[in-house]
Amino acid sequence: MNEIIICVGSSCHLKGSEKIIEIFKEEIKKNQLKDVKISGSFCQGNCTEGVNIEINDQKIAAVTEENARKIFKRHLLADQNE
Amino acid sequence: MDLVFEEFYRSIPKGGEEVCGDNVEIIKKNKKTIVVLSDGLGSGIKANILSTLTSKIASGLLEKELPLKEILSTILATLPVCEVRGIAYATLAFLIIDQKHQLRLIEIDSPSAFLFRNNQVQKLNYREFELEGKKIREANFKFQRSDQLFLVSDGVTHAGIGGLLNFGLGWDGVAKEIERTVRRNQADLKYNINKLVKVFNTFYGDQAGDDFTIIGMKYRKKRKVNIWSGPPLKAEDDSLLAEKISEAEGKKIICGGTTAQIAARELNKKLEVGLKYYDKDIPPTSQMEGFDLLTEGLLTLNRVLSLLKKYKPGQIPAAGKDGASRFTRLLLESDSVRFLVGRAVNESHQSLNLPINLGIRSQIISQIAEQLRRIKKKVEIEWF
Repeated sequence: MNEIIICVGSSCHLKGSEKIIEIFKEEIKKNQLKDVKISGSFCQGNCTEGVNIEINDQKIAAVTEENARKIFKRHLLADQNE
Repeated sequence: MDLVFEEFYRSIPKGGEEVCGDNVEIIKKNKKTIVVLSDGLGSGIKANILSTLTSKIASGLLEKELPLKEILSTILATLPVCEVRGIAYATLAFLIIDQKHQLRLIEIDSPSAFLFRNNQVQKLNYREFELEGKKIREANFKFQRSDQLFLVSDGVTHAGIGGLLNFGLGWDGVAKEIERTVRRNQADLKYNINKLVKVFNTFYGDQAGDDFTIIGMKYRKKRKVNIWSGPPLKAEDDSLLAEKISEAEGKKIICGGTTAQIAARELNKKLEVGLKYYDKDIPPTSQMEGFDLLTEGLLTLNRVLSLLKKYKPGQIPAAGKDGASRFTRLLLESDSVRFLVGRAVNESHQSLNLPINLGIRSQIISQIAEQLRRIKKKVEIEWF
């Protein structure tokens, strides 16, 4: 089971968490990923580096609209990359 | 039991018009409530200006507590009268209710009020007299705990005229609709007003043939809301604030992500963060057992402030599902509001390149408090 947590605190919100959520949901659907839980979180204490997310307990900072798909691929589509 | 007089209204402009020719003013002062309804002759902006002028003059004089006779003469002498037709441009109905629940209603050229009592709608007992050449109806009575009173403009009694009905609903027809609606749901005035507006609109075929307004009034129990926003300056106050909010009487809101995390930690409760955006500018709300609403902090507070600035007493608050609209509704539905405000500052909000100025929490909350006091809410703020 994969778990994605995206910060929706004020600071990350302003840096685009809504868009990131949308992109991740889109990718999950497109890649027909099953067993993924996507949820929000409040401040992860790293606002200056937002948007902050966690994928399977690994913290990832500075996620943007531009690099979100790449990050998704790297962390959640590993099998397919092999 | 502490009671408060509550009133809600909706004004619908004639189909195709941008503004309504009816105007409502509600003033609360010295434990009295003054409600004024005016309907300007015609429709559109001219009618709107006339009714606004009339109701503003009326409410202003009533607020100054001049003797009724004098108020009446002044209003009537000031009302713009059409020189050709010799009639007043705007109708006028107003009522004053004091803390002993004694209600005095005056009607000039407007439809008689509807009193819902003992499960049915009845007409009031009026005394009629002439003043300044105008026929005036006056009713005095004691407003009972379960009474509900409705004032309408003639756009309501005329609903359906020339279309669905030959002569419109008429007073009896409107009474029947009010009776049927209120019987079904006596507690929720806001809901009933919305429902009745739908009914009258239907009689008009969803294209109102005239401006129409309905105001509903009743007593209800006072409501309280408590808000905790912001971490305290001293971390050792975390547990004190968590305790204060969880033991408070009334509804409970937590505003701010970090604040919610502190509350969850101190109260040992599970915090579920939402992901659903109802409005792309307002971050999602969360859930925690025992709390009515958990929102993001500063963006939400800023939106709440701008919604409150636009609010006019008696209006039915906007129906949005986002955190700020729900927050605003909880504030408007309450009579006393208590803020517990932590003044610790989120460093990251201060430092970097954020696209908008988030402002300082304490300033925004002070401004929200000011807006709430403007509409006669009791506000308390405790700083930590």
